[in-house]
Amino acid sequence: MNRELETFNYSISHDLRAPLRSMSGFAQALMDGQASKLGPQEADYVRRIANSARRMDTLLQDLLEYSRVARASMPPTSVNLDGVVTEIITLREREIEQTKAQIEVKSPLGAVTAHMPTVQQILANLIDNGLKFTAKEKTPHIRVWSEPVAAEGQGTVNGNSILRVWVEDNGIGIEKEFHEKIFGLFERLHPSHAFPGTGLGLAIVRKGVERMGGKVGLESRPNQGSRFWVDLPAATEQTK
Amino acid sequence: MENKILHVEDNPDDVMLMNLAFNRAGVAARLHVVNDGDAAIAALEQSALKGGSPVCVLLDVKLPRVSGLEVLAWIREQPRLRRLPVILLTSSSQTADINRAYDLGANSFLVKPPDLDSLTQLVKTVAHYWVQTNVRPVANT
Repeated sequence: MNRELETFNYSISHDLRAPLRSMSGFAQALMDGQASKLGPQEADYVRRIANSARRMDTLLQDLLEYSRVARASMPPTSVNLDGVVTEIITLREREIEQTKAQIEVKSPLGAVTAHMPTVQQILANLIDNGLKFTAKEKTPHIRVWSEPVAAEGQGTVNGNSILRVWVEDNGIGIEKEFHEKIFGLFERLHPSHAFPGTGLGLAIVRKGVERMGGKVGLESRPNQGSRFWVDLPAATEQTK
Repeated sequence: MENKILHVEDNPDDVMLMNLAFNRAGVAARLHVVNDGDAAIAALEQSALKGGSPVCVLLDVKLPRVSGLEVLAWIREQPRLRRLPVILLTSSSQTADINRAYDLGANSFLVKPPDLDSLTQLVKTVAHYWVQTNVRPVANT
């Protein structure tokens, strides 16, 4: 990452997030200590202040991540996808337990030549969406698998064969007219009280994939879940 | 003997929030706060002389004049303090900062949570491990 970008990102990290911590923290402290003295209207205002600060903090973090995938250098290495997905699932243990979600991984997923932190971010965002965008009465069920892309003039990029990773969910699905739009910056299809989010998750996925020389797409219909696919250069014997 | 934790932090709001989190968490340790790197070094020199080093140090990275990483480097150069557990507690999870902190001998690197409940949970985790569970280095050996 170049020095100017690093400094900019550091300033955002440190200097912009500090006041948000204060807003959120002291609003919470007010609710702790004075809850019985606040009327319902006042308590509601304080909660809104705390929630807004937390939302803005999440937005800053996502903007930082988008900035990184858009500009940072991404030296490629061989990335073991099974290891990446296992770690993603392990870090979400509590949420998976709370929602009773089932995540099925068809191993071995194989390896790709890519930038490991970016692959982690991309797959994490897709799995997180699968966990989040589920109808209330349903239990999230996510499947992850991979396959080599058949070479019909589309099976290689820069001479390397392609591995397609699928992330499928049983969520609320997406109307066809929004299949392109959802990869845009700050694009949301649902109000934040229904499904919280910044509208940057899939923009980060697309930017990250494209910078690594790959492609991303989806198949989805309303109420029939979604299947996202990510094409990346398969790891060769030289990069393994 | 009372458990003391040295908290090095220049942001007064973060100092107050940490105090609140410690009270909410019910930690059996006293927070001694200093607001910059020079004061941290002075406090540690004093405590080393009197044989009363803190249980651990909670150290912000971005401090005025002398940075948290410079304080960490100084600690690891002191014969009486080089084994002192140092936990970096900072806003930024920049890879360069994380790796540099571990290269300099940090025991742990934590990112400041965005809200008081998460900070309280973090304090409980830190206190449970470093104050109650961890076996401390033996002085003067």
